[in-house]
Amino acid sequence: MPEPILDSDDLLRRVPFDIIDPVYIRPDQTVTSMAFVLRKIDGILEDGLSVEVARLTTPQASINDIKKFRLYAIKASYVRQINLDCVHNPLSNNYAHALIVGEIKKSKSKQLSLGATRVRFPD
Amino acid sequence: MTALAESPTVIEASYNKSNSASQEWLNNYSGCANISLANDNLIFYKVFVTAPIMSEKAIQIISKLNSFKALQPNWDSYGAIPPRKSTIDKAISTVKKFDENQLPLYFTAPGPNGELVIEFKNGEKEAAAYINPDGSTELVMNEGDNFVLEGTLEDNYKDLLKFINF
Repeated sequence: MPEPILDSDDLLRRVPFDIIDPVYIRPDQTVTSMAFVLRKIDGILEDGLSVEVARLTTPQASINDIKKFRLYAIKASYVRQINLDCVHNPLSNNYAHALIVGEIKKSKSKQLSLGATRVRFPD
Repeated sequence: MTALAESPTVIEASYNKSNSASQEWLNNYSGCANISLANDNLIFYKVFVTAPIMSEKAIQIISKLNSFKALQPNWDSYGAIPPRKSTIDKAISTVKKFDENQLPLYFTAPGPNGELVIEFKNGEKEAAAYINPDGSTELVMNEGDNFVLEGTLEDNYKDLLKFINF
């Protein structure tokens, strides 16, 4: 059963990572807007950006594979402040799953990246 | 910082194709090089340095863009499409133009749909130029939380120059 997402909730986004080339992590440890771009699947934009509600998971579970990903957190209140929304979207294998929804153009992707902070896990 | 050669300079040299650093350097200057092949491995070249010399940052960004040619389908584990060679080549020529105009290049990354971003940073001022797989471009400029512009790179290039460099 979907739960309300509170303004105080942190939303965790997995970001592709490689030790040799961090890919999406910039020199100042902020994340590029590319981490918040909707992907097209068979030519159709996905419904929203997949995130996980921090209070419903752990960093260990959320990161999935520490060799491939790092985590960035963004406040639900910030997502709403920039005129997007977030909705709980539990999956059969991932109760914490949620979506950031709305018209996510490149400027919104950039705004989301500005509101995201690095979760220091595992380092 | 970009430096302009005061007068045309001619560099004559040769290098071995197995030397990857030389190869990368020559790739960056191939537009102004007169290259002749001595044999399979040895190349003689003359470079007429009348064009601006690229900044270290531009060379670094171009090198990273070239590395994206090795990305495979599903490179992010979520089905990401690797950028096409034509998209990367357009991004490289755009970076060269940016560098000639002394824009503060900062970062580049591939997107999930085969697009590329080139980012600029000057204190609180930031800009992101996106090169899409269909050849179209997008530009976003912001100063901290204040978003100044969203449009295409072609239509707003002068605005980008004014905004980010001052």
